[in-house]
Amino acid sequence: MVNALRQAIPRGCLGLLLVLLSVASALALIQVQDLLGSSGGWQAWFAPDPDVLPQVLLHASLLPRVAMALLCGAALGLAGALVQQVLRNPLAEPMTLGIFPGAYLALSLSALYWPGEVALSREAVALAGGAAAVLVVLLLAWPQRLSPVAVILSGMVVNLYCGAISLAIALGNFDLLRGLQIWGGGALEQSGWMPSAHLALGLVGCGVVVWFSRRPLALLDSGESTARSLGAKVGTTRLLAVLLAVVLTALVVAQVGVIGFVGLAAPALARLLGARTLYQRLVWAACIGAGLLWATDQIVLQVSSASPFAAHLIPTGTVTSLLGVPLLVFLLPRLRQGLSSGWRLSTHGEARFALGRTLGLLLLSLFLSLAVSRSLHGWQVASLSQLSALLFWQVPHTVAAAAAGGLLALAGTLLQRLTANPMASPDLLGVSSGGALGVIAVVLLVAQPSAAVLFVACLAGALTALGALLWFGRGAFTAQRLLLVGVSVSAWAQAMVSASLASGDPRAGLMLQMMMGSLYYLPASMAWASAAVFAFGLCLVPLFSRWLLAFSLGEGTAASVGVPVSRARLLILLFAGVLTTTATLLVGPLSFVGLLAPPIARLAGARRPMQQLWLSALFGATLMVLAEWLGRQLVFPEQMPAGLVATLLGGPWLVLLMVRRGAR
Amino acid sequence: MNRRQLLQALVCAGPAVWLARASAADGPRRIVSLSWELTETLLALGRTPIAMALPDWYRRTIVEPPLAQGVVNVGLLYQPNFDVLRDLKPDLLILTPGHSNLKPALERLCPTLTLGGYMDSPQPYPALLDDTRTLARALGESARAEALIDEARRRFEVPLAPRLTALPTIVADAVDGHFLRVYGQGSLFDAVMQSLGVSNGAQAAGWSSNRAGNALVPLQRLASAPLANLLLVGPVTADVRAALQASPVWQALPCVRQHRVAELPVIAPYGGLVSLQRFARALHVALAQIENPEAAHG
Repeated sequence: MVNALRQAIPRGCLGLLLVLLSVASALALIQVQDLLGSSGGWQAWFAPDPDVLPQVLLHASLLPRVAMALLCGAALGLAGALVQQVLRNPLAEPMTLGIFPGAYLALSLSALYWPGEVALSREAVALAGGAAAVLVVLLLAWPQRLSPVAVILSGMVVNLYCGAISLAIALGNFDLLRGLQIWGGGALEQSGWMPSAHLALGLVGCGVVVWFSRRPLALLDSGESTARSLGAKVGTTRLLAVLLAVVLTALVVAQVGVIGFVGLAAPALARLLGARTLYQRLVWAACIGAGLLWATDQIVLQVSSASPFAAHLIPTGTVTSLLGVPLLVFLLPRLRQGLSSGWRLSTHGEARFALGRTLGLLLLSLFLSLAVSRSLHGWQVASLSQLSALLFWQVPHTVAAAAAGGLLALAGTLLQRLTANPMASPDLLGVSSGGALGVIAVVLLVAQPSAAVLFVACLAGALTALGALLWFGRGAFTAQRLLLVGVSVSAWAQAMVSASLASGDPRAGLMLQMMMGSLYYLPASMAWASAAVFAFGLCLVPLFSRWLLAFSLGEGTAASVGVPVSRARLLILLFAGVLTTTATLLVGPLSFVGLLAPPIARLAGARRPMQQLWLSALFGATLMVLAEWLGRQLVFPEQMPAGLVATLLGGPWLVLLMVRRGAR
Repeated sequence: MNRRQLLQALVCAGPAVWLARASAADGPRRIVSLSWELTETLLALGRTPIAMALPDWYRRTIVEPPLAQGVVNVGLLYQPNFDVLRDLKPDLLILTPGHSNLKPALERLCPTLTLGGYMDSPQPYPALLDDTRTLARALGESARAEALIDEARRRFEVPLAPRLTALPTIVADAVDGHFLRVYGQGSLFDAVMQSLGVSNGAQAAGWSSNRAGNALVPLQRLASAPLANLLLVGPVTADVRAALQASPVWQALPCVRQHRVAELPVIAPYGGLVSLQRFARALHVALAQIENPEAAHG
């Protein structure tokens, strides 16, 4: 690599690195000056006087933190460049491949259930979690021949799912996991040189492995088939590179927590600024990653010592995540369209249109929800007087759950029919997360927000997200890219919530409830209003049935039979957006019901758009009512939010859906 | 008082209707509490709730006065289980301002009383006294409340010896190996320290607190308060203690080097007068131990 460096140094990369380093070191020098004052000369840097606290702080806290930032940045830059090389995917990196969230989730689980043993094997736990997550992602994207869009989409879905579980854990163990939340946000606070020495060792090890496998890695530049004909073991190389990325990420997670998107930004910048060959890309990605994270960290340090933030903690990793998601969206156009035909809806199967049976299921779940519950003396079916004593409380919740499920199912069916993409659902399109972001903004800005204010904020957020979707969708409407934008919005919302969790803000609890979709605090008026919106939606969907039928034959066919394609698309999207907003306010942004219900309706034999809309609305309502009921019974007498139960149940179904689609 | 006056009083009293009725019937008997801190005051006034939210958390975080076994769990603090509440038929439900959205629904099941605004109050101590008196009136235990308040006042009136209060003191939770949650202005601990003549190091260092009176501070920022003693509120978990021991920053802090650190027992920072008296006692013991380690060991 040294030779490669000597051959040609890309001027752009060098310039950027110098700028980053000078900004960071200027800020660092200011801090050192503040810290030391007049008390130290050069010996403070190397041999601190143990009696002079500023010198010890410099040596044991400030300098290791700089080293840690540089090492983490380099490790993540290297990991990003590696996976981007082997997956031929400019957006691949530890965050978008799900490695980070998987490793973090594994560590939180082990801290919760095996608290004593964590210290021994943090790396191993993180490694296992990260590897499992990336395995799931690759498995999900396998049917698509690991096409770039499919990989990133699966990665972000795994990311969201792990994030939801982590938030659920935080919900139940808020105090217990306090330290873990800070660490999860990627705070680079250091005390002592041990962690950075550990990471440096790991980084050097990985660097050596990369050095020895540089030839097969470089061969992948010329394309898979060429590489294979030149004698490269493409499969082995890929496996090795992904494994290296997982190891690097696990090392970082185990020391400082989740630091998102540095692995995305660094290789992208290196490539953009003229790093051409693999050597250059790897080296410069590592260098720029180091500079980037160091500069970010110094800025965060400077800002957080300002007085308005003195009572709060700003974790550096969260800041990079918040900055990184927009970058991901910005880089999207660089993805080549790479989806095979596997996403087509299948049309074969027996037609058994089971409206009656579905209605029966809904009635059964309503009965369960209202009358059957655990009590202090075991399971009980409520007597008539017991039932009527609580009707005022339970009926609105059940109605709201049914309405939310139905609304999401309707919106999901509309979107899936429109885009002929079984992954299109309001949750994944980010409309609901946009709404949640609106709510978060209000919770942060207004001291005691009323329900009306929250509703307006949610509507504004959802419509903004929808507007952004439409803006991105102008011209060629590529459904997969929209999905990616949407998933990114959801990731952004999650990053906001974990930032406020880590900062120790007392409002975090309220936000968490909102994100998890608890129906508990729902006013009755809201429940009836949402039921009205649901009924209204059911009455309006027949208007779209002809368009939807035409769209399921493809856009070209639709246009040729006289559908005003762009206007129809706009109207349907807008309609789905309003339905989604209402549902988001009830059950939070990530319930997956909009994803689940339409294919179930299809399996039950609904072929025509109207059949599918009605049937999936019924299924959606049933699922959500059951989720709400389960949430009350599972951890009795405590409860889990209905939206979270739906998420946890919906996730495996999503995996099943993607894998089965590939098997056909 | 004739019947008409009584009726008038009942109507005018509005939300306090049940209060009048309850005290006439020698106070409510089936009390359910949705706050750990208010349960402490309830127990201090001599009443045991039949049920409360997460009783095990009370036993872990508040400790004193002890809660009898067999108190029923009604679910999460802010999401009590309505099925359980219906079956328990309480005659008094104790809420906090955090339950305001839930109050209309809960009131359809049983009478409620909202207390605990002191936890967010900028002047928490007077607010705590008011809340204690209000709860006592509802229970018909006003005399016990005055006794409790007097006892606390007597303890807080006597400042600690000047040799113990020469240096400022920081009271904090150790969150992990890098961060402390420091109790500053607007916290009950701060109020007690002031009345005992102990100056709060958090205020001297100029750290601003959030609404609940605390601030999350990285260890190295303790460098800006080199003179302060450091008291860690229990429980300090084993891994946090190990992380602190291994941290060079911790080892280099003036208070650690000069052995001016002590651990307090588990004390609820937003608890009632019992917790605060325990805090005052623990503060005295800890400062005495810091001032003269040998004497404390002997």
